Amino acid sequence: MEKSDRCNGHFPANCFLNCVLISNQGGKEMSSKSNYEQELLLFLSKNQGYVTSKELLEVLNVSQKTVYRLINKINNEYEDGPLIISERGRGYKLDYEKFISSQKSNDNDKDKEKQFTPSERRKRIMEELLLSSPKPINVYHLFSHYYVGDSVTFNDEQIMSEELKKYNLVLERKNRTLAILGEEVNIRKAIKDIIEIFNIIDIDDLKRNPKLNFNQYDVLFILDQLRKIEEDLNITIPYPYNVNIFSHLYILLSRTRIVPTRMFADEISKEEMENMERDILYPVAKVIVHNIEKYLNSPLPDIEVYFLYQYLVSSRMQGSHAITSTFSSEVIQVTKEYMEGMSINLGMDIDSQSIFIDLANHIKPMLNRLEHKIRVKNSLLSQIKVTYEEVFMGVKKVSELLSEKFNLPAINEDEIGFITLYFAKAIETGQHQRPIKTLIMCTTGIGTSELLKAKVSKKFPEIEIVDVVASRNTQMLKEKYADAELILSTVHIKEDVPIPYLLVSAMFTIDDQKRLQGKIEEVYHGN
Amino acid sequence: MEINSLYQIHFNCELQTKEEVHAFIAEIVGQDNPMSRDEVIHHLNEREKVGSTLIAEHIMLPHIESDQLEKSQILFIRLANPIEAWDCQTKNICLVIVILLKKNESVNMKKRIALFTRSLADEEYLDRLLNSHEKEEFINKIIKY
Repeated sequence: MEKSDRCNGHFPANCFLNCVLISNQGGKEMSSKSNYEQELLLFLSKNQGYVTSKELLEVLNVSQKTVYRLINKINNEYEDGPLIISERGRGYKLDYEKFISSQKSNDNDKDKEKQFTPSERRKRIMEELLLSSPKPINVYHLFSHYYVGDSVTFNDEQIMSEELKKYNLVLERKNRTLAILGEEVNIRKAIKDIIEIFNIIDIDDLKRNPKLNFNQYDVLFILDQLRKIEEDLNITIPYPYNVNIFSHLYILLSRTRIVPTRMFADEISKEEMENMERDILYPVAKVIVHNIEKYLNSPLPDIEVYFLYQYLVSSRMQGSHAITSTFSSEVIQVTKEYMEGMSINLGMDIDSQSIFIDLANHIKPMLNRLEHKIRVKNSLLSQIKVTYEEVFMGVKKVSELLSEKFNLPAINEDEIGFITLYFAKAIETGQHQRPIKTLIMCTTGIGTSELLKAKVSKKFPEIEIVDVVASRNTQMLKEKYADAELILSTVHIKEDVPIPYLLVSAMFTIDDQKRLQGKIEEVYHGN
Repeated sequence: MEINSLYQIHFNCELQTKEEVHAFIAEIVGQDNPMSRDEVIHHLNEREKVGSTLIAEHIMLPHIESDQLEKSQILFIRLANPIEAWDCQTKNICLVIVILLKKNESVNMKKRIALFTRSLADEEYLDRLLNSHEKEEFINKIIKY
């Protein structure tokens, strides 16, 4: 994903998109806040200037009082002065710097709390049970840290049991012990979902962040294995797939230390094994599992190679293996259906080859993830939903139709969120739109206009500069450049020009850039 | 001082106002060209009227084209002290880069000048020009382009 030159805060949507595609910062702890707070912060972060309270209550669809209350609450919770600045007569504005830094620091605050809420307590207990499944653990031992009575214990068991059903797992109670029973794949999946830390880790941050409470030796070992995978295949594994593989390996290490491996009950068909052995990813998975055996000093069942292989196949990779233009007919069909469906849905042409290749490279591993029930957590889902609501709803609709047509498992919201970004990117970068043929003008056609040309072409890829001209004979322009759609000039033109025209300063200030953005939209709209 | 036929550099110029800068440019032009002082100033003023030639903070890029110029040139005028009020909107000017374009100049020469102008879109280059306080250093910076 290319980083836009205009990513300077003045084009927040574009900027947001890039941030989403590149990093996993942001939404991590937002999901725990109430929706209104989150929407309010998002809306403010998308607006550079002041926003009136009227606008806010319209966007959030709440009362004036609620807006005041929300802003007070947010500001009170933030320690270093107000996060939202208010000014009489102008409205509200987000202190962007504080906003960004508060997002990073909030994660750490949670460590200070030693009191657990009921849902946190249940999560911690489930975590312990899952990691040692299928071994039973004494109920007294499980609940003793939390000082709760029998009725609470009983209630917790009911709730956990319901939660585990989603993963096809059973919570078994026997002689004052509890145990979780089920297939290994499902146990790993539940561990990954329940232990929230796996959803918010940042691979680059792992080595340095002591607050994460990971076993540092394991972390270094796994990071080393990730690097080996990347080296062997000559690829890079981007976020969030690297986190996914990291989590898988970390859980594997934790599980293997607690539970003897021979107790796994999963079975794989012969056909699937044969398919795997033909794949270039298979030897890599095999080597990594072998390294883990050496690290743990304990043998692992063959099925671990299969588990890891599935994670590799389901990851999007960037590099020589990854940039493939040969896709299976299923991938091609699904990708095309998405593009056609979204074209109709958004009412614009989406047929560029670059979108196709990008999207197909995502769809390919996605189909594998769906088949093997590997869920990649999309930590920005809530932000994507708010920012690209229309696109998201469109993708959701198309996904439902596709699932039916191609007989695929239901496509979950995390995946829909990822796909949304590909179409959002297409809209934002204007890849779906043709370039605007533009003339650049000043008195000589060589002074400020050449300078402007350099600046414009750097920042506005959607503008195709046809020529740089002098302002002497504007009347000739229409004849000579019949298809020109826009003139950008550093000088004021007195005569009537038969082509849309915009006066900008040679400095090409932010204000000029904004006006040009507006003009571009006008040109697209007028046609 | 000339560093080659295209560029001419004037360092530490004690000029206080826009009018003095324009007069200074007219003087230089007058030395090699048949163009009169008043005409040069008239051209410069006309260009300013239709749009500011401020290209970055502290830097102006006045440019004129005329058939009375014998050859095209680029002048660098580094002011000894910033001009606080160039006009009512433009403040604090430290560097004036003047492009003198001969009418019907050869395509080759036009390309060379265009290449130079494009380099001015590079903010780092402009910063280096603004921050070079020694003449030699300044010349070195320009020759790089």
